[in-house]
Amino acid sequence: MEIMGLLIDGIGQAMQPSILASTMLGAILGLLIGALPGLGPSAGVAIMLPIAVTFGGTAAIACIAGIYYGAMFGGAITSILLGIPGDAPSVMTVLDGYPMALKGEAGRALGMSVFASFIGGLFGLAGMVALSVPISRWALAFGPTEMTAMMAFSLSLVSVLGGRNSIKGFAALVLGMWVGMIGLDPIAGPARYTFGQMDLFDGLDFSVVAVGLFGLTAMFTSVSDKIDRDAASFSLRSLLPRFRDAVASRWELLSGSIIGFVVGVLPGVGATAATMLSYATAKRFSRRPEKFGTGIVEGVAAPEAANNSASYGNMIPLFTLGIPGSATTAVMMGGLLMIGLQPGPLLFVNNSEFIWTLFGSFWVGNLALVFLTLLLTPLLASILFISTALLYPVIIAVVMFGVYAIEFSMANIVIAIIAGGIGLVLMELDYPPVPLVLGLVLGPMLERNIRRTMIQSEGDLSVFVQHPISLTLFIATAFVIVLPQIMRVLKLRKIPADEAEAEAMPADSERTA
Amino acid sequence: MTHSTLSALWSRGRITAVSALCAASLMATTPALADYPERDISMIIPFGVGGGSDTLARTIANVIGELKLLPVQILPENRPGGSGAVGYSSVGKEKGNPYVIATVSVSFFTTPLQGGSPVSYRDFTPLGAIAQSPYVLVVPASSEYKTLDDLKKAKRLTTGTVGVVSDAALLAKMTSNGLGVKIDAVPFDGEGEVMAAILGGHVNVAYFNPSEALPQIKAGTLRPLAVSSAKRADAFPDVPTFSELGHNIVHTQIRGLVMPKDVKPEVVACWEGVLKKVAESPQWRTQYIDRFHDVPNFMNSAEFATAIADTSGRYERLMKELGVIK
Amino acid sequence: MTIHRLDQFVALFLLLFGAYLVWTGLGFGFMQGTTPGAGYFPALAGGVLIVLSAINLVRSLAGLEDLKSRMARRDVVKFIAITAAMLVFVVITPFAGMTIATMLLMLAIGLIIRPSLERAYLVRLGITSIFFSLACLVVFGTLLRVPVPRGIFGL
Repeated sequence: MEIMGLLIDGIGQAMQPSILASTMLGAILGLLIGALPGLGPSAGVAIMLPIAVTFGGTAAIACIAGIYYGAMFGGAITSILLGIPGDAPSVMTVLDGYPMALKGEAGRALGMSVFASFIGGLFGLAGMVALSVPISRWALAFGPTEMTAMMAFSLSLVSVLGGRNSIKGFAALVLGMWVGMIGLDPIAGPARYTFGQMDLFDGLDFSVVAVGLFGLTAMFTSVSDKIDRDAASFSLRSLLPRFRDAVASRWELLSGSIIGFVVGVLPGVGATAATMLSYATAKRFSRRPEKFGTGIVEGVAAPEAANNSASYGNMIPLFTLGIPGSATTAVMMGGLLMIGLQPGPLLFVNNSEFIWTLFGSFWVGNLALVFLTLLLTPLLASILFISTALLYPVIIAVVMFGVYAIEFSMANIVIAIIAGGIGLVLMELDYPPVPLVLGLVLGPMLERNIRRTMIQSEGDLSVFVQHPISLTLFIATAFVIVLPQIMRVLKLRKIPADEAEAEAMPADSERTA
Repeated sequence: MTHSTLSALWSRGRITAVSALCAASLMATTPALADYPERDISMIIPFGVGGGSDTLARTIANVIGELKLLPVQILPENRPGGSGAVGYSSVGKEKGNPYVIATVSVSFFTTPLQGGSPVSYRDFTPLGAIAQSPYVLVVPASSEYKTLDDLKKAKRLTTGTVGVVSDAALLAKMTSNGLGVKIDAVPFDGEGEVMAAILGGHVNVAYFNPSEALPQIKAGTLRPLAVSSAKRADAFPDVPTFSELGHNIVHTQIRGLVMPKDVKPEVVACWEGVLKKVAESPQWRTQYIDRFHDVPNFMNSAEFATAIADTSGRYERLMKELGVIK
Repeated sequence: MTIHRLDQFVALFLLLFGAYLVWTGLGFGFMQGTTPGAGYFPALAGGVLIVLSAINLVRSLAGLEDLKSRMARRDVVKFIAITAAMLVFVVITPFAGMTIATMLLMLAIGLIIRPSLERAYLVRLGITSIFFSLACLVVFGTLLRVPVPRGIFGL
C-alpha cells in the first residue's frame, strides 16, 4: 500500500539524529509536564514552544507534538500514585488508579496505564495515517446542532457515574455546571458570577479545579486515615505491571481507543471529554459496573487509551485542514507558522515529506515512551514507601508550583485550595465529585451549542430532528436511557442462571457494532 | 526566515541593543529626553505564549533589538488571564512609568467595556501604530454567493465570530446595515471553531485575518468576496474592498503600542521615532508583514489616539445594539 | 457540629444558592429574542438545585441520610491547619518569594501532619524542605521558564 510505503519512509526520516533527539526531548519533557500536577499538554506546549522552534523545521514540530502525547503518558503517574490528576485528561484515571494504589497495586495500575496509553496511541496513529483526510471531512459535518446532540448523548452515558446517592449526584452535576458558567458568557456577552474579580473573567481552569477537588481532597482525607502508611502491605510484586491485565481489559482498550479518536477529531471537544465518555461507556457495558471506582484495571485502561488516542485525533484537523481544534493544537499551529509552514488544506500536498516524517516521529516517540515509563514504573511506585509527613510537604510544594505555572497566577492557587476544601466537605457529606467535574466539562459545551443552534435556527427546535446526525444521536440517547430500564424488567422475569447472559448481551452487540 | 533570527526572537527576554541611544538618534527631529531610557523596558503580553498577540509583541521587540534602536533591552513577559485584564491592568496602573509597554489587541477595548477590567483605554498613552490587519469576507467555495451583492438576495445569513464582541461581529453588523440583509452572528470559542463552522457549511459567511483565510483560499475551499481595508490588500490583489463595491465599510485591526497614562511627551516622541523606524524596516516586513499579510502603516501618537478612541466607540455602539451593555 | 447538622446546613445553603442563581439568571436575561439568553441556563440550574436540595434537606431532617464521618476532631484541626498554612503561603509569596514561602510551607505541613520535635525527623524535614523547594525553582523557573515570583531575598 502506498500509505505504508510513505509511513516507512517517514519512520526512516524520523530516525535522523536531529529529529530523533528532539522527539525524545519532547516526549521526556511531556512525560514530566504531564506528571506535574496541574500542568497539562496545553500549558506544556505553550511553555516549550519558544525553545522548540529554535530546533527548526520538522524537529521543532516533532518536539512539540512529543510534549503533547508524552503528557498523556505522564498524566497518569500522579493520578494513580497520589490521586492528584497530573493534567485534565487524566482526571478519570484517578477514579480507579488511586484506589488501586491504596490497595498496594500501584505498579499494576501504572503498568496498565502505560499499556493502555500505548494501545490508544497506536490506534490513534493508525487512524491518523489511514483516515486523516476522510475523517476530518466527517468532523466538519458537526455543527452546533450535531454538537448539542452529541452532548446530550454524552450526558446520558455519563449518568452512570452518579455515585451512591443519585440526588446528591445530580446536585453535584448542577454545581459543576454552575462553576462552568463563571466568567464571560461567550454567547450573549455579560460576565457571570465573577464577583468583580478579573481573575474569574476567563472562567475557571478545569485542571486547577480538578487538582483541588481530587488532589488536595485526597491528601486531606489520607492525612486523616493514618499518619504513616502501612508500608508492609506493599510487596515488590505489587510494583510490577501485570501483562494478564491487558488481555482482561481488551474491550475497554478498544472502546477507549475508538471513542478517544473520534471525539478527539471533533473541534472544540477535546481529550478530557473523551476520557469521560470512554470511562462511562466502559462502566455501562461492563459485567461488573459496581466495581468501577473501587480500583479495577478496566477503569484505568478505558480513560488512558482514550486520552492518548484523542491526542492524535486532535492533531488531524490541524494537519489536514489547518483548523486548530483545541488550545494545544492552536499553539502547535503557531509553531508551524514559526518554522515557515502554512497550515491549511494544502499542507498535505505541498509538504508531504514533512507530514510523513512527523507521523514517523510519532511512532518512534510512542514506542520510546512505553519503554521509558515501564522502566520507571517500579521506581515511581516505590515513592509510596515514603512516610506522609515527608511526602506530603513535597507534593504540596509541587502542586503549588504546578498550579501557579498554568497561568502564572497566584489566584489559581487560591482557587485550588478552595476547591480542595469544598471537595472535602462534599465528600464527607456523600456528594460525589465526579458529576461535578462532568458538569464543569460538558455543561459549558452543552449550553453554548444549544444557544448557538437556537441563534442559527432562530429559535426553531425542529432542526434537531432535521439534521440526520443529530437525529441519530438523539435516538441513541433515548436508547441509552431506556435500555437499562427494559433490561431490568426483562431480568426480573428471568431465572437467576440466565442473568449473566442477559447482562452480557447488550454489551457484546454494542462492541461488535 | 533563518534559525538565528528565530532563536533571537524566541529566546525569552534578552534582546540586546548596544549603540544608538534613543535620545541621540532622534536629536535631529524631536526634542528628546537626554537620559531616556536608562534601564530595561518590560513589554507586558496580556496573553499566553504562542498566540497572535504574543507573536506580534515579540516580533516588535526583536526588530527593535536587531535595529539597535534603543540602548536597553526590551523584556517580553507573558501575563495571561482575565481576557487580557490581568496584563493590561498591571500596565495601566503604573501611571507615568515609561518602562512598561504593551501591545493593543481586541480585548484591550472589549474587556473594559464589558466591565472586566479596572483600566480602560483612557488609562494608557498611545505611542504609535505600525501595521493594520484587514479582514476578508469569505464564503465556502460551494456557496451560491459569488459576489458581495449576491448576499443581498439572501433572506437571512449567519456568520461565525469569536466571542460575542469582536471585529468579526462588528463587521457583520456593518455589512448587515450596508447591504440591508439580516446577518446573525453565532459566537464560537476560537478561530479554529469558526473555520470549522464555515468549512462545514454551518454558517454562510465569515471574516478572517488574511493569514487565516489565505491557505483556505489558495486551496480553493473558501471564496473571498471583499476586504475591509481602505485599499486592496497585497495578499489578495484581486479581491475588491468594500468601498470599491460602494459600501462605506472600513475596519481594520490596528497593531500598535501603548504605555501607562501620563508618561512624558519626550518619551512618546522617542517611541514614535522608534516605531516609525520599525514600521519601515525590512526586518519588520520579512518577520511580520510577509508572514501575516498585514498592511504596513505607521501612525503617530496623535493619529493612533484618535484611532483608539474611534475603535472603542465602535465597540461600545455594537455592544449597546446587541444589548451586551446598557 | 455533627455531620448530620453539617449536611442539613449544606443542603439549606445549596437551596438558597439555587434561589440566588434563579434571581441572577433572570437578571442576566432569560431569553434574548428567540434564543435562550445568558440567564436561561443559570436560572434553570438554580431551579433544579432548589428542588434537589429541598429533597436532600427533607431526607436529612427525616434521618434518611446514612452518613458517617471519616474524620476525627483531630483530623479536622489538621485539615484547617493545612488550609490555613496554604493561604498564609499565598499571602507571603509576594514578599518572601515563592521559593522561600514554599520552604516555610513544607516545614509547616510536615509539622502539622506529624507534630514531633524529634531531632532526626526535624533534620530530615528541614533538608527535604530546602532541597525540594530549590528543586521546584530549578524545574519550573529554569527548565520550564516559568516566571516564579521572587521576593526580597532574590529567591
